[in-house]
Amino acid sequence: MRHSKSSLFLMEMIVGILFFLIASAVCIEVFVKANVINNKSIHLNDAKYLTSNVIEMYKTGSLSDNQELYYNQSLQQCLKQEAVYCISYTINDGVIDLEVKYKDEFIYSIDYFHYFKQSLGDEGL
Amino acid sequence: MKKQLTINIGMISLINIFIILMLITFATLSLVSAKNNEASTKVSIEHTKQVIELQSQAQYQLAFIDTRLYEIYSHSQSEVDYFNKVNDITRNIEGSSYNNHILQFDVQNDTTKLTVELLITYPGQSFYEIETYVISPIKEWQSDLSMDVL
Repeated sequence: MRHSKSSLFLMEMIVGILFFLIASAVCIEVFVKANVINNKSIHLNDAKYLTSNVIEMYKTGSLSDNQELYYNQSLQQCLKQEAVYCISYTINDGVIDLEVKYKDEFIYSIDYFHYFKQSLGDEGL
Repeated sequence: MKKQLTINIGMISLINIFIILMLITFATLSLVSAKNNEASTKVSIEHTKQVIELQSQAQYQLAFIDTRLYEIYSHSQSEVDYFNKVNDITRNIEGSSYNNHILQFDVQNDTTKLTVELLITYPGQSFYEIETYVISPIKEWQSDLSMDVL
């Protein structure tokens, strides 16, 4: 009697562990997927914020032609070696084309045209 | 006599089911939360792109207006003549109006409108000053309270 009770307990234990392993494998996959989606959203939001900043800099005329800007995880401008975000831009006929890469992976792009008001003495007029 | 700790048969299954249910609940909640974040990020990105696009269109109009004002200035005999001719610009810009030296025009898309008002000046430093540059929604705001689970 005692022998059959122990083996039943062992069987239950084994089946329980098996189910737990399967369920936890599925749940871990879901957790990882959620984390990947969350990170992607964070990177896109950061990219949007950074490009908006660069566009504002362009409006003030403080950007030099065709450059790359590097930002770290805290969105502070940094050296290329420490960067996670890279914003490359080209300026052509008043249009600035911006591309954002996160760790060498393209994530976001936008372009904007800005007209710099001219005065009578300028060559453009 | 020492009491022995015994676990009844079935107890392990119950604990197991409880833990698995907890895991599934937390996993589902985190996935739903992540999906909602993703959706709101997409809405935010789309809105930003639309606003930037509208601003670009407005800037193209400003470039056109600046060039036209210069042409008008070049062919004007006097300040009065200049301001009389400025009204012609409204023919080239759809939905624009000119009143009391204020030239007003809108650029818009399905959801957002950008209103620009320019004070046209007789050329000194420049041909115009931007008086208003306002972005406003066209449609009435509707709250999104949906929370689809998966």
